[in-house]
Amino acid sequence: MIGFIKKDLLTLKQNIKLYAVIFIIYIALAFYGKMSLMIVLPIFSVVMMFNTFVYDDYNKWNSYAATLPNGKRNVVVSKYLTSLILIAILSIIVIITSSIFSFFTNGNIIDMSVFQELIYTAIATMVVNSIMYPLIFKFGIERARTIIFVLVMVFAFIGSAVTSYFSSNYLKFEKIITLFKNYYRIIAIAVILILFVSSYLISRKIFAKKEF
Amino acid sequence: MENSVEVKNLVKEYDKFKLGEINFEIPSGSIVGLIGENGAGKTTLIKSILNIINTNNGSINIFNKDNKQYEKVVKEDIGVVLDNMFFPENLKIKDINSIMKGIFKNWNSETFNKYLLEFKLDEKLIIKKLSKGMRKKLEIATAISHEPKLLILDEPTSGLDPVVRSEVLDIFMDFIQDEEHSILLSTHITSDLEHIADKIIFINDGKIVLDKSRDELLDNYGVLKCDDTYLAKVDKKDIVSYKKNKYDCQILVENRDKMSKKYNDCVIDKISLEDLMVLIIKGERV
Repeated sequence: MIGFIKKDLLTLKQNIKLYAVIFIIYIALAFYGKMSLMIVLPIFSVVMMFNTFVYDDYNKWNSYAATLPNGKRNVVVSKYLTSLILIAILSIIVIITSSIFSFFTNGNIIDMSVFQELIYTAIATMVVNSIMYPLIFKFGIERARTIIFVLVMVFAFIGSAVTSYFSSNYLKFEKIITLFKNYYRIIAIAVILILFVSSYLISRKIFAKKEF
Repeated sequence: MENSVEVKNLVKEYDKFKLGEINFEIPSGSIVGLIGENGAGKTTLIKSILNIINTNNGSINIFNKDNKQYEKVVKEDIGVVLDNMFFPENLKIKDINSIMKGIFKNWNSETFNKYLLEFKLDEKLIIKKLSKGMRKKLEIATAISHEPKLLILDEPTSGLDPVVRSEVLDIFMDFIQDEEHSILLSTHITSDLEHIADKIIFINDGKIVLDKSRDELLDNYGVLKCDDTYLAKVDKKDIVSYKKNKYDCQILVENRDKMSKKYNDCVIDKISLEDLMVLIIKGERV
């Protein structure tokens, strides 16, 4: 399995200069207060992993990988683990960059709010990955791209509708909202763990049935 | 002699194509050539052996183990070159070494580097920059560097110039010197098989039409070249198939020596695998 993870990381390494340039642009935008540095985590991890799928697809890596020992299983495991490794690496980069920012703006190196914001962002990124990967394994990167685009639109629409309904009927749902406010950390972690593991199992099943 | 691969009653059905029933063996220590026109089922057969497509019926044993039940163990000992399926092309050659170390228990970096040197492949190059021939050489070096017992090769010499092709065939011959080793080689370059294959399996329209040793095929079959009028004089039971050309007629016959005596007023040439393929596929039956 290590070989499969290495393959993804080395694929990403080949474009490291390009990613570095884009990252510097993001830092500049964040420095001038145009956007939050936190956005780096979801955007980079999703786009970078997406690119590994594109390379795999273009060179029929999955077909070749299926001929290797434990290939079908490891293709799936490695994508999920690489995505976590990437989230971890990007989180460290964001923390270091934020600390430098913080030091120059208010003299503090550690800003605890950054950690909290980072955890939420990491969870959101994992949610996106959990939804994306089974679709990519099922339909291939080209078709999945369109489906994901449609899904994002649908989720955005449903999300805004639900939020506005809850805000306008706050009193009706006060108890539920208060309960959620108290336990949201546990709920969020439990939900993401269930979602991530389920997504992995679904992808495994899809990939095991696939013909090359 | 033990068999490396045993395929029994294999069937794979698609909407418009059926492979099977297929039965054959790859004896240990031998090179088996798989020939047939495009779409005949060669790649489907290879994919079935590798268990990367689901079959409808039959069993495939590799090293006396079921290829599905013992997939992981079996694949540790198989080296593969497939047509247009490989690593992402933005990787460097040296990355393959690093990746494969984490995939095969027996991956041997020294062997890999030895082949890179032999094939004049610079490890710093990215795969995308390689010519088709160089890429093929890299695929072969990758397939052979974990000390496999069985090589499954789909068009391994396509795109290679005659000199490199000869080098590659020598590597295959070296590989087969160990009597535990064997090769299944599918190719359109049938002349390669005439040099190295011990056995030829000829697939046509999803079925095996010939499964014989190379010597038996090349010594036994012959082409009787004659004109149209002579065709009528040839005993029908002696004709496997025939093909009328613009100026002559080619008749595929078995038992060449016997036929040479029987039709001593005609020339019966030795047959090449390519002509054999053409006459069986395109030739008319009596």
